[in-house]
Amino acid sequence: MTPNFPPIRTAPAAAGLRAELRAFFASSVKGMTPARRARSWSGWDEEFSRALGQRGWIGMTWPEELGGRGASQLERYAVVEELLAAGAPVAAHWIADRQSGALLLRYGNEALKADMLPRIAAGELYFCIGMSEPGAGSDLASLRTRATATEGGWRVNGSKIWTTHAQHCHYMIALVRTGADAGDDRHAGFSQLVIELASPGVTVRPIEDQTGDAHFCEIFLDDVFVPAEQLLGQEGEGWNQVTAELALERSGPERFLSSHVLIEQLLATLCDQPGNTLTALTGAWAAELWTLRQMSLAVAAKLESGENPMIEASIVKDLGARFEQSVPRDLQAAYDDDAWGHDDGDLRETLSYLTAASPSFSLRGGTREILRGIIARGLGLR
Amino acid sequence: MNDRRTILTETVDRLFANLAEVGAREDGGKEFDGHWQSIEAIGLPLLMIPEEAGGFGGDWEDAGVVFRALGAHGLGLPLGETVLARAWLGRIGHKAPEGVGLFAFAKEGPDESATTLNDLPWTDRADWILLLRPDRWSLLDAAGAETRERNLLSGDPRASLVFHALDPIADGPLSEGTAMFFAEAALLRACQIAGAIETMLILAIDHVRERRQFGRPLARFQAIQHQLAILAEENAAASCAAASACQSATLGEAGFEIAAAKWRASRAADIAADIAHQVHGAIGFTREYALHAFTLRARAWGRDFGNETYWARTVGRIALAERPKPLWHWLTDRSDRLLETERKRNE
Repeated sequence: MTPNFPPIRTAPAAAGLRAELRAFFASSVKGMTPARRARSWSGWDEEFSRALGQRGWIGMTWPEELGGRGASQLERYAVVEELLAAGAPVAAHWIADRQSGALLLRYGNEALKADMLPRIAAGELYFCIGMSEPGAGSDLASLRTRATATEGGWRVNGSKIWTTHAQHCHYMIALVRTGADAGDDRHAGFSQLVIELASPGVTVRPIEDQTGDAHFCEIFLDDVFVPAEQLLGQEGEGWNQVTAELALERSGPERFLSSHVLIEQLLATLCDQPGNTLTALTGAWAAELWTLRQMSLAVAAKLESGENPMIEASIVKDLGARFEQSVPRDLQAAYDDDAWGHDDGDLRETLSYLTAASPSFSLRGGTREILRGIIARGLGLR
Repeated sequence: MNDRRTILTETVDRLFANLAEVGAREDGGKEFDGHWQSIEAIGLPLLMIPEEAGGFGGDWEDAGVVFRALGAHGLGLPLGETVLARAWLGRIGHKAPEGVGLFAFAKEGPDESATTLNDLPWTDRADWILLLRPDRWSLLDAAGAETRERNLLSGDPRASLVFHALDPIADGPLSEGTAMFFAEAALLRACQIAGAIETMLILAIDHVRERRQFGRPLARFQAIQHQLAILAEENAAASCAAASACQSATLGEAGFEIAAAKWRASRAADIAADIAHQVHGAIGFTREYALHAFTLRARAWGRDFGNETYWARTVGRIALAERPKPLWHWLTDRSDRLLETERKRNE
């Protein structure tokens, strides 16, 4: 059986939800420059996250007593895709809403959940993901950061890298080694810890990327104490927990909407009667956008029903990244002064930003090569 | 999937597998009548004709399952053509004749006396042809035309028909134009392509797991694995787009979804065929091995009823006409509306 994506059967959003979100964006997002909106889930804005939290749009699938509203995965999907398409600066709460919260809900103890989830849902508590290390990028299983059991908890030593927005975050959920070094089973002996970044022994160093933004960081952990109750799930089960988390990370609309602000900006700028080339380009984008959204919604429906659609998620992410990267490239190739209509510079600036940012689209969240390896395994080739 | 559709899927899968087994992919029409009789025996040519009108019933999603299965078994028999031509005649209000039907589109108005219909499949097996022109439909006797055969290597016999004088069996005005008929023809092809790509993927997987070079199966080479991952992605995209367009066509006006799906399927057909052939090596290029039954047909179907460029422009015109409404608002509102229709229908 090849991976399948049956079309969803019910609208993801309750009537009126999109209108409510769009009205909110009209006052909160529309005034930002297109180049800023193009940063979308890389754009850090705590005030925006708090405003979103107040309206109940963070952690919405969680139970009411933990700050959520018991919404379905598909309803959350509608909120998230609206945020991304509008280019809302969602980075502050993004990781916590998408996956850290889900992990806490599933594996955290009651006290941890009661303490953290309501603050995440309020848009006040921010998380990052500690997976990659200087010596462990795509080969995650070779990571060396180690937690050693001590009185009342763990002592952690090592370092993490490419940790998005760690300089602003309160906590990192890190994958660390708690068992013996890799033997026959390379995936044994890992655990997940919730590490408070204000702890003594934590040093965070932002890394500037080629666009001039500093959204990712290197983190040094020097004998950092983590209380025992901040172990997530089972000791030694870290690898399986992370794998389940990755389907959440890979299939969402952020995997094909990264260049969307540019598409809307082009449509708003283009003259009344664009020629065949730009008409066809617009059509190809709209058609691929529709296809990817249908596929991504199919994966969301599988997540909703409790499946772990790892292969389908990898397919959406790889196809989505190809699309996101093609948008600035194809637009640049079709560049034609007459067809531009009136661009006061916003379009060119947005295009430049996305051209420079686009290499990251097939690196972050699992490289293209890793994803294709996962798909090949799913096809029975490995 | 509902029970009825599950049974339909299993039934056509069994029938088409049998037909492929007895040579229906390859025999160039030698045993055509026998193949067609077994298709008629279970009533498939009456698909999409309402049961109360003596038909098989079924909506676009049911038809999509059947059309996809044709592609998946490498069959180019004109079942989809007959089904759509009959269903359209029904909508126009004319009783469809028996037998094998085709349809064709022509740009000229009804006054033109000579008409050439290019590259139709199975012209020597067709009993009748539904010709659709911008403002008129005509039912033509296939025997009344001069046949100009062309070797188009499209997997099935194709020829151009020249009607020196149109002498229709029946005809009438077409008040709503041909656009929706043309789109449905494109959706037929999108479904067939999706089926063909899935089988290309399955054949490619089987081949690279069995074939050994340099002391190991081809499947162990990362270069091969990544090519097949791309093929699986194209398969998923074509399949999801075609199924989604069938869902939309069942629920109402689906001009955009069908245009997007045919664009996606045509695009996928070329990428998938390139990869499937590359990983098969020389054996996949032979007549003896079955791959060509899927790749030649998928490429031809990709060209039929609007290729990638045609449908990209069509979608582009639709999207641009909605300005200044953002593309995103238009696309999601439309999708929500369609799904709301489905919810109400299922209540």
